Amino acid sequence: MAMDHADILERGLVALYRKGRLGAEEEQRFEEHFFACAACQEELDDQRRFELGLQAMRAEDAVPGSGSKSAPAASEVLAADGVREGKLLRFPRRATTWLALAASLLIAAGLPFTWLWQSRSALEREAAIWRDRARQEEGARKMLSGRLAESERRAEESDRNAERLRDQLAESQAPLPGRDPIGQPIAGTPLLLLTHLRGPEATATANRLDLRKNSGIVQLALDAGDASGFVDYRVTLSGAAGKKLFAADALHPNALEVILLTFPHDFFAAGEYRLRLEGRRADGRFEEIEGYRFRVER
Amino acid sequence: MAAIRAGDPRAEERLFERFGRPVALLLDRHTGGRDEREDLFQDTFRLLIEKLRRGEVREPEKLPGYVAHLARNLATEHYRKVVRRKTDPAPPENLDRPTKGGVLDDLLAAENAALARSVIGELSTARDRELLLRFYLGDEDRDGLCRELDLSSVQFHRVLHRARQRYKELYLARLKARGGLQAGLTLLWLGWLWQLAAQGLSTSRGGA
Repeated sequence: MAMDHADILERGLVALYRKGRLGAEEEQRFEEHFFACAACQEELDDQRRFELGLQAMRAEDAVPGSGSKSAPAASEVLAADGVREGKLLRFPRRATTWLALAASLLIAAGLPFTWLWQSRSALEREAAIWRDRARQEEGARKMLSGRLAESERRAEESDRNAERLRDQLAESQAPLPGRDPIGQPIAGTPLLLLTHLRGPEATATANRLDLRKNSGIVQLALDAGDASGFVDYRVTLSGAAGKKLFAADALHPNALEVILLTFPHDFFAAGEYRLRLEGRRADGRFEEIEGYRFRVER
Repeated sequence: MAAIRAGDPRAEERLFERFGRPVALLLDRHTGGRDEREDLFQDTFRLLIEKLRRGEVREPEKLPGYVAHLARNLATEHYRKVVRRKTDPAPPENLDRPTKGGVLDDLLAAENAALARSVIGELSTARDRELLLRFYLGDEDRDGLCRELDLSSVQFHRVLHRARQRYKELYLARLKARGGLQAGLTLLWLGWLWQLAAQGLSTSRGGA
């Protein structure tokens, strides 16, 4: 059964507990009570201090050299010395006064330092713990920063790749000027109708293909003329040095009786070219029909 | 309690804050203020934390009684062992004052003695002075004193209470007058509790 605090005060159980005068059961109940009662704890602490003071007083008043380590009973002291005039009420002697004063000063000076030292040690330990935590946090922060930087770098790289792929896609989908005119309307295509020239100087005025203002494709037209009796035709394009650049066979004239050759605009570099037209007979033999020279200007 | 079972050190510190003072007071009473109270204090908290971690106590409202029971049993068992071994030259029942300390303890004792003299000197009647001295120092029985001095139980405790209160007032006045000297003593007492708690905690952690 729990104890009632008012009853504890009224019966003075705190003092009896300190003196060990409570029965076992009551002592146990009181201990369970004061473990949850701050007022009783305060009272116990007061009691403890008071007992210490009385014990210290008795120890001071113990007769030196009596041979007994225990102090004389209070009743003996009272009987021997009286109360007011007795040793128990005697104020400290001069030497004791000075000793007490010196002790007080020493304690007054030393205790704060002791306490500060303890506090400092505790704070240092706590600071060390926090420093460790800060180091761990800093390490974690650096690691995360590194990961973030890596992620950002990869994201940028990914963006660049995506951009490049988009460009490539757009490029692949865009019409290639001069290379892939399919699907695109073409107008103003340079067309050179090649004529037979007698001398090498003639290309200065005739058979000139001026590509300086054009792009896209360029067409060469060859007049098949009245060269009948050929099954089909073959053309061979060479550079000025005679290097073969292009050849095509199984060609046929169109409705205008011309053989039309279409080249990409950038196929030709500036310079002199020679185009040979041959016809194939029914027996498979080729026969040269005409040789054209022309000049490309860019 | 759940936090302690989970191994939260802050919960253990709160446990010390909550029960450090009552455990110290109980052990001070059962050991008569001798040095072994410090070891018993540490043992109490070490065992308490171990038991809480194992979940042996699960009802918070029963914790104060449980801690008191644990501390009391440890003190009892300690003195049983001492008696069995017969190695202690002075069993607790025969010791009437705490173990002697160092110079600091002597100085504090001188201060306390001066305060006690002041309190006794201020008592208004010779009967009250006699009552205090015989009860505390003569270790005489309350009922016998009451009969002899013609006091009721209430009067008896009133005298004791007033004397303790006066001692406390002087004690606190000295704190104020001497600019923190007694604050240092109080802090010393608290520091002692704190040190014991810290040692108990580290022992308990080390043993866990």
